[in-house]
Amino acid sequence: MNKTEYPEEILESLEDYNIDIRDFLPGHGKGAKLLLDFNKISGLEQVKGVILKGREIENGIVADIIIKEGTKIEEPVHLCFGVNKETGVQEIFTRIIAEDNTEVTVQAHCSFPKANGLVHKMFGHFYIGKNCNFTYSETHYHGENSGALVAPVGYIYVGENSVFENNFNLTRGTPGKVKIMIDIYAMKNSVIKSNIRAFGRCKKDSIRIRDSVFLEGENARSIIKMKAAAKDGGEVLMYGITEGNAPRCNGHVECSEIVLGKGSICRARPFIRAIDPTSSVSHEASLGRFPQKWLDELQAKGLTEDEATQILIEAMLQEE
Amino acid sequence: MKENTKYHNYRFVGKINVDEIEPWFDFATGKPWDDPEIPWILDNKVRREILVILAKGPKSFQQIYEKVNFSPKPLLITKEEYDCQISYQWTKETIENHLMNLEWYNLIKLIEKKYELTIPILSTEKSEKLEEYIVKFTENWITIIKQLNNEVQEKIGDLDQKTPLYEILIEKAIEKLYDLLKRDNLIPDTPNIKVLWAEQLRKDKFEEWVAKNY
Amino acid sequence: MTIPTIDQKCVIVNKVSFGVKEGSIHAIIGPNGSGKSTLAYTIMGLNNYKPSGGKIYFDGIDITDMSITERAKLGITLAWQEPARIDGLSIPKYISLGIKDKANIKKIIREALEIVNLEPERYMNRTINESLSGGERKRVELAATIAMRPRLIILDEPDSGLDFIVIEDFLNIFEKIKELNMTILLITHREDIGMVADYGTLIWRGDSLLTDVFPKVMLRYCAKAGLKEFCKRKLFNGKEACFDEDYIDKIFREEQGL
Repeated sequence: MNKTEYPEEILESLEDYNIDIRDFLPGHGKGAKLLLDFNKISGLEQVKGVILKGREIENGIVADIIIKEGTKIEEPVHLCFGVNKETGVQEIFTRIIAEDNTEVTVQAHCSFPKANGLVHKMFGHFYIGKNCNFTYSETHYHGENSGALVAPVGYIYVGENSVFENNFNLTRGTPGKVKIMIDIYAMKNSVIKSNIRAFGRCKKDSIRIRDSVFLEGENARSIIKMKAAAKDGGEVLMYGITEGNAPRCNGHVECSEIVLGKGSICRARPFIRAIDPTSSVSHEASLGRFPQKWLDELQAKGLTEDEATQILIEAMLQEE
Repeated sequence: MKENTKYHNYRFVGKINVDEIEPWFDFATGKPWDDPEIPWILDNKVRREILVILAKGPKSFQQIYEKVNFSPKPLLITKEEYDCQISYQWTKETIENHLMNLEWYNLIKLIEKKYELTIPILSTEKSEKLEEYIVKFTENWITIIKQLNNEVQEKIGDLDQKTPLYEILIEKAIEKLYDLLKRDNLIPDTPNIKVLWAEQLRKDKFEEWVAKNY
Repeated sequence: MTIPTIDQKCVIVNKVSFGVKEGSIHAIIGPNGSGKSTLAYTIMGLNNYKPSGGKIYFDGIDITDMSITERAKLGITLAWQEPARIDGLSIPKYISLGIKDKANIKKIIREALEIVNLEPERYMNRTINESLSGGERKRVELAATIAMRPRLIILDEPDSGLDFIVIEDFLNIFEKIKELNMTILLITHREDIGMVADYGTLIWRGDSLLTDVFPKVMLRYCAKAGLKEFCKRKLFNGKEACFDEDYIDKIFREEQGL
């Protein structure tokens, strides 16, 4: 499949995130791929050990991705859900099952470059088995008009002894109205890392993210890091919930939000709950401007306060 | 609001006087800030699942333990194409923690070694039927209020529908109705909590939110 | 110069007055709480460190009311005792922040990393995060200040949190910095670190007591602290001793008022 067969505008936004467009094109590289243009499957590529199946529905797609037991994949699975129109409603229903003893990285990109009244809804279920290593990275681009309404919901179950890493990045373009909900259930000895980065650039941007981790198994551990900036009237609300429901589990929530320009609002609601008496949950939240010490450190190198703030925002919103 | 708390004496009795500081209330809802109507414990799907299990009848701990597990299946891929084997079973310690949590918030109670619900949980079908009865009930009420309007006007004087006094009258009448229903045991002795959401209702709420916001 | 606390209720540094010779290593020594770091931050112009009296001159220019950025542009910079962990910033990016010669950025970054004994091949691809040890973080900080090619580097307790092997390494780094014609203002309370200095100023309970060649300042410091045996045994002993025992005894007697 050539780049020209899939709307260029959808793939172009990948470059803003320093991701190679070719990785997403069937026929290039070795990974499994699924490309959706509104409700049309424009590209599907299978690899050994992975079953990818999609069915087009009126407004989007229903898709299954199964990573078979024991499969360890080096090349990421690439998913691209794009809409190259201004308006419309796109619905994605996905179920990703990683059987026991698998290792896989999924790189997803949702791009709506012309969005101006476009609605995107996603209901994703992830079921990760035992002894797995699963990384899910999702980057978003919603155009430059703050014209998208995006509402992904994810329910993720992580089996015993598995490691699950979630990276969500919405730092390019204007987000529009975004409401994200992720519920993660962590079983015995599992490790959860969730990194969320978002940037609301103007008054029409509202980003609300709720990332919940329920530590349901003994010794389960989690760290949620939410970083955001709101500029020129943008709004960010971060809800980080961690519950310690099992013996000796350990969870931490960190929210860092930076406010730039008048009218911008940043709010954080870290909720931590220790239900089991041997669990340990903690949170850190810092909102407003960067710590003075960080600004002083950069200014001592000749930067103005504004330049220092800009550098720190870029650093904060970089993918780790 | 639970009627057996100390805040009962401070329930809305008229126009809210914003000049008086009432620190135990949340200004947005007029209710105690630490006493939300739907407790946070419903954030967790396992606890919701336990409530749904008990909605079908009282269960012992062992019975609950045996039900709190699942094996996910794909949406499209058939068993013949690939038979998924992963499953999740919650441990007894974790389920015990969840049950203690639900008990503390008085959503369940342990009676003779079996847990049972203290609040009604309705399926979508039943809650839709409930909606019908609510409509019927309120229509009857409107008829009564309309009929009494003239009589009340004569007795109390220049009572106008547009003044706050009329609103207060209606509000007090509903409160009185609640007291009478309780006195005559026509409503169960449970915390005054609304129907809990099933997963489908959550989806319906989402649809509403999208329609409203965009 | 006098420097009060931010609420103006207490004076941390009182009647401090000294000069720093260009191209030298000048140590500010004194016990914990004497006001050394406060002095360093005031010279750098940090927001909560404003003198209530006195002036600061840099190469004849009155910089007392200048901002941090303005002082940095004149050629003054500070290497922090505990550098911030600004997660997400790559090491090359951090080091490049103060470099004026944009055409040779990569070369300057590599040179700076080599001076602080960090292999460029290993560190050019790394990010400032929790994977860097305290010592590594300090070296990166030092590299960033060196890369700026400032005229004056203020080193705030560069030895804190480091073991003795690393300290030896740092002493060599200071010599290399000096070879680049930079002046170093070294804040320390350790005599072995200070011994690399050409000159020193003794700060005692907020006052500057003596500014002279470093051995004399060190001797006065020991005398005030009553550490005669330590002084004789550790500092001024053997063939390279600056002072003989009689002189040391004399200074100690003077200090005790005898």
